[in-house]
Amino acid sequence: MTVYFDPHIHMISRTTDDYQNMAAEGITGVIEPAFWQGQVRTSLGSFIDYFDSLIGWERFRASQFGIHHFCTMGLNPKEANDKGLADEVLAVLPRYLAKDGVVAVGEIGYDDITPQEELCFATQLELAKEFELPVLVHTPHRDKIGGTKRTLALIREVGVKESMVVVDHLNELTLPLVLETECWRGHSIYPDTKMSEQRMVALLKQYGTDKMIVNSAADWGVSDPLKVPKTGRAMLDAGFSTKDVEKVLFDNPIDFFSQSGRMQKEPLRTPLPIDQRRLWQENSALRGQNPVVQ
Amino acid sequence: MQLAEDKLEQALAEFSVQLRDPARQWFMQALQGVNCGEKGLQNTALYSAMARRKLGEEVYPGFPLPGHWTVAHVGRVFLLYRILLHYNNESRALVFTRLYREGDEQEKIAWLKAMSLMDTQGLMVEHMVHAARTNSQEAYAAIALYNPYPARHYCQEAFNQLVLKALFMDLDIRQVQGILQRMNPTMKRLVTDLKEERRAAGRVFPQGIDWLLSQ
Ligand SMILES: [Zn+2]
Repeated sequence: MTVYFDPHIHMISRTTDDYQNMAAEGITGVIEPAFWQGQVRTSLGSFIDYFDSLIGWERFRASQFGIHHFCTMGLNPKEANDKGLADEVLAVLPRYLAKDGVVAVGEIGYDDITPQEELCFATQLELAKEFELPVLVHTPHRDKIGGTKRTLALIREVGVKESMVVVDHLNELTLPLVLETECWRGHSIYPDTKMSEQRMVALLKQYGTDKMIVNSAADWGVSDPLKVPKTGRAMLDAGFSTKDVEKVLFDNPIDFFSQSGRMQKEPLRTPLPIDQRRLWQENSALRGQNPVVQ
Repeated sequence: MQLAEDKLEQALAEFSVQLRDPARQWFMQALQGVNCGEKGLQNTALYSAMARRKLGEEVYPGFPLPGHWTVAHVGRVFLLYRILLHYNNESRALVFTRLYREGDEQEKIAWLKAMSLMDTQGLMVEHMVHAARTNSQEAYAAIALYNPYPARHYCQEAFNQLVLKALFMDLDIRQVQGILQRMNPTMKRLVTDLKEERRAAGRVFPQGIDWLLSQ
């Protein structure tokens, strides 16, 4: 069975049915980027609780379905415009960037393309350098071309290595801009208008599979957590080999994010043993023969 | 919080000898950064967050508490110990609470398991009871199993609840430290009721339930 990895999906808004279906389709791991929740938060505490669930409860939830769970941490552009709160969030961010299972800074970038967004974007690019982490960049839905150009310019200006950056939500118009750089290329496949499996396959035919990454970006809106395996099937139908499928939909995202030094490819080829924690405990700890020392 | 200083100091010396480079080098440098003041607190949090990646997850058999200890867990306990040493008994609870709040699940687990050495007088009972409001079996086991703290410091009601929830979470209650000494008629009744409930629902009994009732 082909193994898949979805490197951009907001599982906090998804149900346990989704997890079951994803596991059944061969998805062995996910990355959950910190993003906004559909409406702006008004206090630092809401951010802290959200970040804590990304490294805590959500990871545990995924493990119950055999799925490896990683996350990225960052202040998203939509919420960067509340300056007071943004400063508070940026101040707590470093402690999350140090945690296990945090494999990038993100989603960061532009939304309305304001000076305040740019300030937060640049600050977080600096943090990525400091913590030696890759960067997941969100490109805006409005003025996508202008936003993508400014994104690439800012990355150069701050001096983050391009190979440590994935520019996400690309389409036919913005992908060529990123192809001129060393950045990795992210594509989110949606049910409706933005980008479909067939359009994705056409891009792969035209531009090849190097540094190409595909995700579902599924969240609380109309979206589909099975878009990665569905893209795999569309690739096979279009004549790509199983090896190509695995390169784009498994190897590439893992090669990119494992630049963090916090994830390795081999263990991701197999699902976590379901209820791993219980097994681990019963086998080696809870029923273990470890002598009582005291 | 009164620290079991002699025991911890001795265990720390032993741990430092057992570690091998580059883990040892990293750990010694980390201890240097654990100073008093805001900077020291921030350093402690960052070092603790990195500890698994820097020290590894092998079993460490030399820690002076029962249970399953990894090098990372033990390293995190010593980082906490060293920062607490910089504060007096009264301020330690504040320092601990902040670091605990900022820790991830594995950091929390390490610190909960070691509470009997961090708080020999039982001032943190409320904290432990609150921390036990979790659905994570592993985090709950850190409090309930192999941990001398509850039997030593919990009131009867809290201890009975600890045992009952351990059964609900299907943990092996034979590993609850001091359970036989803390046995009481209410606990027996609660456990018997649970067994009847499970029987009525046609479900299996949690392990250890018959062992406890036969005591
Ligand atoms: Zn997203």
